[in-house]
Amino acid sequence: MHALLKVSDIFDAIGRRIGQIGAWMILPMILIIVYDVVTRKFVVVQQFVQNSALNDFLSPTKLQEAEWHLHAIIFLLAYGLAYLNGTHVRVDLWRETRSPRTKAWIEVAALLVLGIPYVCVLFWASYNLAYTSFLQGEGSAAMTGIPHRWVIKSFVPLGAAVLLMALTATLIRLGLFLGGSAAIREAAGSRLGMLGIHTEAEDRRAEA
Amino acid sequence: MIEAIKWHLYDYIGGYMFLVLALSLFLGFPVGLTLGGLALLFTVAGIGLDLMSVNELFLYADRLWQTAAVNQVLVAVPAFVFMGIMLEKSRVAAELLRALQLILAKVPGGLGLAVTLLGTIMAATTGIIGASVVMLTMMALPAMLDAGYDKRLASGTVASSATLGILIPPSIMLVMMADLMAIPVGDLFLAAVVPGLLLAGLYCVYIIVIGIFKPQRAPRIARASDEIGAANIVRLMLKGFVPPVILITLVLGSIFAGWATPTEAAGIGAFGAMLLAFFNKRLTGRILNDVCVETASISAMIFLIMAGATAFSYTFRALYGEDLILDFISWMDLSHWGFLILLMALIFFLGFFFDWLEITLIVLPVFAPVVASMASEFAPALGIEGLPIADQRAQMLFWFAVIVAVNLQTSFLTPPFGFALFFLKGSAPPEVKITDIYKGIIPFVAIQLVGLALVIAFPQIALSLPRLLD
Amino acid sequence: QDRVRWRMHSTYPEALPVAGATSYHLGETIDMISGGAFDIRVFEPGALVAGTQYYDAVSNGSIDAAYGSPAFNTGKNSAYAFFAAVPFGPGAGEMMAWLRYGGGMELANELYAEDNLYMLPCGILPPETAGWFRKEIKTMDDLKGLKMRFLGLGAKVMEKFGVSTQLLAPSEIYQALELGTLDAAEQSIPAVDRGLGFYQIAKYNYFPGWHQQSTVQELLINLDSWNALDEGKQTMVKLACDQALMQQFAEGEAAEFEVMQANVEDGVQNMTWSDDQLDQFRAAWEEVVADETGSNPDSQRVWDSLTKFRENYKIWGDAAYLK
Ligand code: NA
Ligand code: NA
Repeated sequence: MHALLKVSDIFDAIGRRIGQIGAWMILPMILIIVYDVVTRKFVVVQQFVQNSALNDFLSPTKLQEAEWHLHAIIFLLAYGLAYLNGTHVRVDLWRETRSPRTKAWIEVAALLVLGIPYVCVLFWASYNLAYTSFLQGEGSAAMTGIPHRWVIKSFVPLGAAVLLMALTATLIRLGLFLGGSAAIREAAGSRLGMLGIHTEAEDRRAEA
Repeated sequence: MIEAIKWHLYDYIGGYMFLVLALSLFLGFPVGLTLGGLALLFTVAGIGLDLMSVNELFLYADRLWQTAAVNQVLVAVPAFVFMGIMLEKSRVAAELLRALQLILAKVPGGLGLAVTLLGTIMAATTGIIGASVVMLTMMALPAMLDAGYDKRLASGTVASSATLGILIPPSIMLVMMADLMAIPVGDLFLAAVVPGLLLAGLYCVYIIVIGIFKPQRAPRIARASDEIGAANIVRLMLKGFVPPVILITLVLGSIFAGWATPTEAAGIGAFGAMLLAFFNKRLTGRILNDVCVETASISAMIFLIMAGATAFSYTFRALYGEDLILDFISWMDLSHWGFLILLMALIFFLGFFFDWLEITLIVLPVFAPVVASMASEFAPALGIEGLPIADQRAQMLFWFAVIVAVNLQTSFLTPPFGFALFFLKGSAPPEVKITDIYKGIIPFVAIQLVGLALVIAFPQIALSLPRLLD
Repeated sequence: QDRVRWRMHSTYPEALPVAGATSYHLGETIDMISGGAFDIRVFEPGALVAGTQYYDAVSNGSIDAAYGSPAFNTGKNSAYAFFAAVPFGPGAGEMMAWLRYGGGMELANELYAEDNLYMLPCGILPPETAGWFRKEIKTMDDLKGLKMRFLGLGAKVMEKFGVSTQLLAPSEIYQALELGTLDAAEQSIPAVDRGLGFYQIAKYNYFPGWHQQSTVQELLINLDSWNALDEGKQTMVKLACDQALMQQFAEGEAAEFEVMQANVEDGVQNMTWSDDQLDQFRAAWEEVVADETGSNPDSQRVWDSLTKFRENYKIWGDAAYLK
């Protein structure tokens, strides 16, 4: 039992760390936009870059593609993190009046019937798209954009995989919460934010 | 028996998708995963009915990729979300709203009016609802709750004013509609401006009325001891106004000076917010990390809903669900006014479940030509009898596009499935429950319907500005 | 054969002038001549897949067919560009001659077959305009530093003259041009550009569109779906495409003058590149195409085929047509 909890903690930690790495990509995204806008207005700089070897990396088309590439990385890698943090929106007006145990059963059922099958399909389909792109040597449709499209496409299956890990970690915890001994139940319950169980530790943190 | 069920499903499976979605949403499972999971279940049913094939599952990923990733304008989402969170964490937003409250202390519902104004300004910088709702929620909702505003009024105000961005240009929705209807996008932009401002005005009227008659829902502020006296007021104004005014000038200025596209201006704004936090000495590594992580989480929330919604709406189309709707309308066989009103009701109903893109794709290609063909019947109502028939049709389409646009803006707000409501919930403080949001939005949906009725009854609201500037 | 049902994507909304209605008519025509036995449902852009991004979906069989142009598939293989339009490429007649009698189609379908696809030319558009400019271009130096929306191989040519090509979302072009974020934009034929409202803002419309003298439209079909058709239905599709191509060609030629007249009434000046300017564009293009064919063997093969055909054609083309 403790081993399972440990597995769920590892999945949890990986999901959060990958999400955090992706989250930091917002900073290069902002800087690229600022650089692009500013240099565009200074024709001297813009012409200098365009006539130098730098243009292979800093042409406006490449920069503007890099913006949405980074945007995609940010949200895809955070799918799992957002689930673990309870950021994904729930219409919980009926659910919130239920006991933690009922909530846990609903979540288990929804994970098994809706969430996990969907994310598995998403992973499989996006893995195929990325792999096809790799085989084709796909580049930018703009022809002057960023080559090797498969790299950015791979973030879709990666994001789905991280989300799947987060869902699995939660499923394990829900299982332990529903079927484990009292100690395990408490340990699992404290890791399940969506059940709305307030632990003493949380209350202390909230006060601080 | 089994054959009979099969044939029944064959015809009505699209309708069941609505029904099952409406029920499943209330399980309280994340909305995006609910949509995606249901899409998968119905796709499996579709494969069983020989209406779909397994290969179509590839489109779950392909469509997510195409709509959410390969999309230059959606870069504005993380940028604006980052800006909103950064302004909140660096207390710039709180100080701005405090200063606004002090100025508007004598006006009933003053803070609510300020938030509506903020939403209207933001509408001129983006047409991406996810971006504007989250940003306005981050900046304004905590302050409104602190000021003692009723949760429902506060969330209704934020959600509705943040969705004005879809009516007030720039708006990707208007561009798409112009495309589908083959009308000039510049003129449609102009036609939507006055109705957008009209709605903002109606929200303000409502807030003022509440402020007068139910002041406990929109209380006036009590001044703190250091907020009395001219010197203190001036200090607070400077502190509250100067930084955000610089920021707004930066964002709007860079657009209107032709330096940046609206999307890029969002990035400039995010950079500016970082600078403000830096000068406020609040840009620590910890805060920066928190802002980045929260931005990513909220972006993930928005685009997981989009992922599920795109799978769901694809499945609906693949099961020929739209035939139910289209057949119903042609079966009704109504006169021109009856037809228009039924169409509006239908769009409003679809808005309970779908977003604007799916609705426009189902409705406009089929019915825009029909509406255009009714131009001469509507001409007296529009005051365009004197024009040649081609111009009548063009005017008719502008007017139709604008009323559809107002109706679609409403679709972001209608429970149970209103994107703006979800985005608000995902970025609001936890004490704001989805029930508060659902209940709070009802008066604003009613206001939307009043606005819609006004634009239908007085077409000049939409048609006069483009004509004036032509 | 039993009733066949296809789902088909259209890159263009039905209301788009000239190219828009083609695919929808195609679906109706086939439905009619098959007596309802071949039902092709045509979907607006975005309903199944996004406008130009249909290649994967047709290739993996998510949808049976898509109407678009090989120009949209250049991310998959840049050689596809040559089957749609190339700078200083042939006009409609010569292009069709190369595709059908010069080995163009064989090459195209060889490449498409690698991704389980089959292509039929299903429309051809007249020359595009060379773009809408806010300022007159008196010398090539005026191009330096201009911010312009321009896609594809033509963009590389423009960059040789110091143009900074921008990748704007379609929804932002109009406003960007209005506010001066863009100085110029290139999109399509006059009839299509009219709807985008460029004439209201950028008053210098340049001709001829050296980058796109004709643009082939394609019906791209999943190879399995195609092979599953009996010969009668395959023939229906082929005939319907031939009809669509002819129809689009005629409509494209007929639809431009009224729009250009209306543009002039709205204060647009129709400008013509001088011979000298065109020579400079051509010289730049030759550098660009050398780079392109050097980096993609498929492009090299297609380019060789096209060049060889055009060299042979020259004696006829130069002699037969009035200049
Ligand atoms: Na807007
Ligand atoms: Na709704």
